[in-house]
Amino acid sequence: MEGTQLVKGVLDLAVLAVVAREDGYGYDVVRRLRAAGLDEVGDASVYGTLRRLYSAGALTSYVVPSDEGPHRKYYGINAQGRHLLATEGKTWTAFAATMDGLLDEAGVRS
Amino acid sequence: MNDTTVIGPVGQAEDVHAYVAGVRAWLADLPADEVEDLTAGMEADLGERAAESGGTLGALLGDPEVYAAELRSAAGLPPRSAPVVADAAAREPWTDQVQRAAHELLARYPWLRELRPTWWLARGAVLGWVLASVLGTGRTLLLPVLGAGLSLWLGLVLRRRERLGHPAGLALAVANVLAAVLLLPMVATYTVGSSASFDEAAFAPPGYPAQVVANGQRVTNLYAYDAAGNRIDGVRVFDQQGRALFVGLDPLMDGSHPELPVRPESGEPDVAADVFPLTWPGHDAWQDSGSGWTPPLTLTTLTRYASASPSPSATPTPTSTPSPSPSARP
Repeated sequence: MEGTQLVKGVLDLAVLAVVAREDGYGYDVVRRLRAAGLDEVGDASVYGTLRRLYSAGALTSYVVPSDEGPHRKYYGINAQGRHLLATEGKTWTAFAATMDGLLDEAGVRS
Repeated sequence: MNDTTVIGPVGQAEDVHAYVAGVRAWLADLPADEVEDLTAGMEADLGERAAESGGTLGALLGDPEVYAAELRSAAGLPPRSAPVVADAAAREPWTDQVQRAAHELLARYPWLRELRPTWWLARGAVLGWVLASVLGTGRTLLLPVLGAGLSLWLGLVLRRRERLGHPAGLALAVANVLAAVLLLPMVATYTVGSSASFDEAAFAPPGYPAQVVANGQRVTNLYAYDAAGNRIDGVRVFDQQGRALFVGLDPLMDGSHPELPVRPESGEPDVAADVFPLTWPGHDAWQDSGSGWTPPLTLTTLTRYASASPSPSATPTPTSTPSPSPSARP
């Protein structure tokens, strides 16, 4: 299974988790995802995901003017986003535990 | 500081500027404010990206076309409507086609806008009628009238907003299409009097089952979400007369599903055509629909419905949201 495919499925959750810790602009979120180990994540996918989560009401956004260059657009989490993160997080944890169990039984647990 | 953007060498700033312009060009078919939202901050971000890695953005991120396509797909926006409209339309989700067609129509004939309240009334009446039929209350007037009022109110409220978010917009599109499709049957039922004699006679010839059609295009699959925004498997849908909706399975026979089970006697797919999303062993029912759209993992919770009715799903979802919702109730 391709790593990129796996990331695609959980990108919403990963982005929410990153933004929940601290507000961030697009590339900042990309960098933090990569630093966390999600190397496969595509820049544009992250931007698009931020935008979609924002449209869905899970994120807030604000523009920070810069006097030495173009403005930056920051995203932050709100109550709805935190709720989504909590419920999605639980789903993921349960899923991961199930997979761990399966892999354990098959003797391929890392 | 002067007015130019200096991030690293001047050549790099120019490269970033050109790259963002390229991406914008591939988004140009979207509403202007959408493009603005999508590209706000992009120059700063990509400038930082380029300064960090050196080299051109094209080498780092691929062509603007590819970048824009990935951006749109992740943002849940339709693929670009390329000059070859027929090809793009085939890949576009039908709800977007409906919305786009509506926008184009309104742009061409602005007076249609004045007819919208009439449509809102009709739409609400149709949906009220559907509800009355499903509930078996007969041809009551109460629900259609209530529906018309509610729909008019909704239309007036939403009129101020140019574009809805995805889940709400989708729900509205579905409601509109449903109402448009069922308007004629309703009128016929009220005027002719007997719904049974009308349906068989005027529509599909007897014995030939009608399929689900949206915007003149066949519906080949349906994806349902519950009020909590979770995907629902094994959904069966009925129309106002209790007939199960189903889809034709022949699109599955295009050779892209080698694992598709086939009935040996007829050669037809051994798949339940009235349980959605369509599924069979070895096939992920929620993968890419084959039309370029992948159903999202979840939608946002419809708080109004989620709190009002107990969730039918077996998984224990948290019923109360203790976090204070910022939306003040009017």
